[in-house]
Amino acid sequence: MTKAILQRIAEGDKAAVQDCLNNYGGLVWSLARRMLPNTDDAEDAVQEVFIDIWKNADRFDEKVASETTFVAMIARRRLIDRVRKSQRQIPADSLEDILTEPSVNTGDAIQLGVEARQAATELNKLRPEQKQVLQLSIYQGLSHQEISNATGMPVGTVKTHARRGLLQIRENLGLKGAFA
Amino acid sequence: MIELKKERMLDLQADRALFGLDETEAAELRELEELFPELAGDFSLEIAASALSLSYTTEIEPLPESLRTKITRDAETFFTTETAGAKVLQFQPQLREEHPVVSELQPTFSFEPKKPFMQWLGWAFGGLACLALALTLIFNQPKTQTIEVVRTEAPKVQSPAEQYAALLASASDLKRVGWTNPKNDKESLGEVVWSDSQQKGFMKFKGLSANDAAREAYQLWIFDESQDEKTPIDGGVFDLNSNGEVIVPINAKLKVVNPKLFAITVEKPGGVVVSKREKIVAVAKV
Repeated sequence: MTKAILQRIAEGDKAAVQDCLNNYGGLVWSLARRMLPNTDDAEDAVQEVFIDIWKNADRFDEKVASETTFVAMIARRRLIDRVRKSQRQIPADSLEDILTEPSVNTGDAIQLGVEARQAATELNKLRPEQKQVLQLSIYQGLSHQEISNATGMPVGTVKTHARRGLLQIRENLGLKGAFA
Repeated sequence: MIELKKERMLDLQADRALFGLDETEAAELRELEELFPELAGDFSLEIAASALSLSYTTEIEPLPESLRTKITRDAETFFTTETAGAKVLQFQPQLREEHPVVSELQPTFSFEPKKPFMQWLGWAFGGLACLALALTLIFNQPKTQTIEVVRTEAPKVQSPAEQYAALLASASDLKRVGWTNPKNDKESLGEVVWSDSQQKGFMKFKGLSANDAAREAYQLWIFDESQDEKTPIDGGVFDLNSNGEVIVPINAKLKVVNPKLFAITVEKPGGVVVSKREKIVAVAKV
């Protein structure tokens, strides 16, 4: 059985670095570009993400999540931090674009792991307001306050919808309690 | 009460997965994790959020080639540092993740550096070389010759202070400048010495505060003639646990051609690839 790329990196196999970049470089770059409009910021963030990946490679467990999802998790942590620090201000005229529902990838065109396809299916089962808040948070990278501004919902309501929606997705993906 | 605290912990974990946490929230989550360690390693909400994030990823842009080159260089430095990190007593390994700070995007799980592959490779080559030497000696010795056993002592490992003194004595191109507080250039904080020819140097500090290694680390940046000012050379991450006189070896990640300025910043534990230069605590202009 072929070893996972992250497992090889954790063992110090330097050749695995290029395999990692071949497989996940585009993904991490695309996530960064989506969340950080400034190209320089995105480039810096991607460099930091890969350092985080080298550091945490030994924590990857294929029984818990696919390698793609694990890489995306590491990337999101770094990118969320960057977004928070940049304290991005959303211009009023972009709110309409933000509230436009993004397309969801439910097919196999891009190999993004089984969890992603399941998550897309489960997202559509949520209450509309939960789905909207999660989309704005995850796809657009908006804060509680920004979502509140964009939708007119009170911040407390935004938090509740976000939390309940995510907990529901976790449960439906069979992740609940898997790591406790 | 316990249930309320667990619920609060879940709220914070959900917020971390979706929005990130500020320092206060991150500290609160750490306290709760200490209270409920059985729930501390749960990152299932982050996995769920990441899976959702991927579900929106309908198009993958290729990684720019220039960025790929930088990441490859970072990886080279990272693995090299991991190999060399344990050799110098006062240097903290780059990979240390003792106390995760979520707002700084440290891992939410503990991380222990692995035994570096190159270190094993080095030992393996060393072992093979010894074996080859032994076989050569055995098969090339005349049968009548008495083999003398020569007792050798392991080379003494020099302390940073001894290495510092040795560099001062041996380097003909030594650059030696004083550290000052950037907010008060009258305040002396020690000195830095560097030799371009030996690619070696040391920082001597006196009066620079000890850092809380769980929350922050000192990092050296070398502004060199060979580099753009925006991209100084990473000179290594270190902790100070004493307010007395401390000598720290410089661990430059790239070749230093002609340094113009040394600067110490405070960063997150383990250091950063690019400093925001928000907290500069010492500078030394050549």
